Amino acid sequence: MASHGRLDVVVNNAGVTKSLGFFDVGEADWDRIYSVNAKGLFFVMQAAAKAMRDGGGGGRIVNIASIAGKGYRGTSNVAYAGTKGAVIAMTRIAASQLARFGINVNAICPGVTRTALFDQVIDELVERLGGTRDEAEARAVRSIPLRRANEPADIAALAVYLASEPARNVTGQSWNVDGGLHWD
Amino acid sequence: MAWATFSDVTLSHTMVPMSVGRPPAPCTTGYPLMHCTTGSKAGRCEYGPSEPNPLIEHMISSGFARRSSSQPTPRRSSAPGRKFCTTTSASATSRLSSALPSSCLRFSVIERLLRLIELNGALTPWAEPANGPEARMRSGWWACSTMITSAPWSARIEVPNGPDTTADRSMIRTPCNGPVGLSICCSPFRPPGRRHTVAGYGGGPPSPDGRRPGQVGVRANGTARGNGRWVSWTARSLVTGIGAGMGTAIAQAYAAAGATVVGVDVDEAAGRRVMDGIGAPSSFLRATCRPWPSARAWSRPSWRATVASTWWSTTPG
Repeated sequence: MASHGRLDVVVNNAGVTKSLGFFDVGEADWDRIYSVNAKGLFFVMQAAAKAMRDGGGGGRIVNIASIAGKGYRGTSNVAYAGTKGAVIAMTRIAASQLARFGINVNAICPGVTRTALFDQVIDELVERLGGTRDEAEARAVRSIPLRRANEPADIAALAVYLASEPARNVTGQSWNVDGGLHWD
Repeated sequence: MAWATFSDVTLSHTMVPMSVGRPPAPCTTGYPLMHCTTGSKAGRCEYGPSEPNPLIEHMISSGFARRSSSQPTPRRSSAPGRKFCTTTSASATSRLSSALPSSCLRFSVIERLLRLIELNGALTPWAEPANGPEARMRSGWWACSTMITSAPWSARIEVPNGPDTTADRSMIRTPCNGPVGLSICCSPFRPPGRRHTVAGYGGGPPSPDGRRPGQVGVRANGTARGNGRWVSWTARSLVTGIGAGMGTAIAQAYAAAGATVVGVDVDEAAGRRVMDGIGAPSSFLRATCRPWPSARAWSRPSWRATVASTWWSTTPG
């Protein structure tokens, strides 16, 4: 803030996960995933909202959630799904409580997206369930109605829209970008 | 004659049709520069009945004057002589109105087709039942009529039948020097190549002088519907997790749209690499993870060593 003067847009994208079965989620896993995905996101959002409120010009907050937060069965683990559900809920509450300051808060729920995190989860799946990497990837893509995994640019395009003027009256929403995997 | 998918324009005796004596091929109709208003439904240039509630009202206008509205009915100029007619050709009108400077009147030329000829060859529906329907007299060049009815060659707007709508049908104009693409409607981002002409968004109500707190350089464009404040403004954004994947893509997309991006990541090397690729004025902040003793951890000292939770804070990188 000192060097840039004000803050107009914040994208809460940082997140962690790993492929774990239901009985494999340990407390350390839970704490780490929740600390980064939910707690870290909230406090970044809170700090950003303070700056936007004090600046008086409103702003946009875009939280990167996941369709896992809406119950997508192919999630990496149950704790991760819980954090993303928390992000969606926090987005709605934040939107309602920050609206009077002119701050729009929305969430993006990516589906299967080709990122380093996706590669990591695929590797862990192969390690856990066997098979080849290509097979695991093909399985993931086969479940997508549009038969296409997201590229990061697909998410970026929506993030740009949500921070732009045409989205000025959009707040508290969670937008799926998933090739039709999940409807909600 | 029912209004269908095109607009008939009947030229009155005061308007000498340019197409008299010509075959019914598409012809070009030009008019001198005089202000008048036409409805796209009626499309008439001067006298004669006016449509009670045209869907689209077109105006010959300059600068930011309203180009479309559902409220007023067409107004006829009382000045004698031929009038300057507008066109329902949306693309042509839009191109002209966005390209010309504010002081210029817009002159449009449209292709028109003599469509009524076929209709005039239809049977009259009101003929005596005993005699059956009979053919109407054709008008047009082979019927030696001086009355020409024409319609736009390719009307873009089909006028619906039925009750009017209460929906707002106003249009937002693009000023001559306005941004383009995503930024057409006041994107907070500076579009590429236009470093200081973008519009502000959101925020609280403007102050009496039209400014919002923290914004400068506001000017009103005087449009009827407002929504036209343009400010010298660039968005300052903060994106976490920019070291890879979606974070990288979002930071790059924001920068490409003109925003100043502050990228944050725990991986300093990856984060710096991304932000170096974006370049100034964007910058990088290194996120550090430090143990944050939760209440539960304090209550159970044995957990202190194993608490792996992270508290994210940003420190200048």
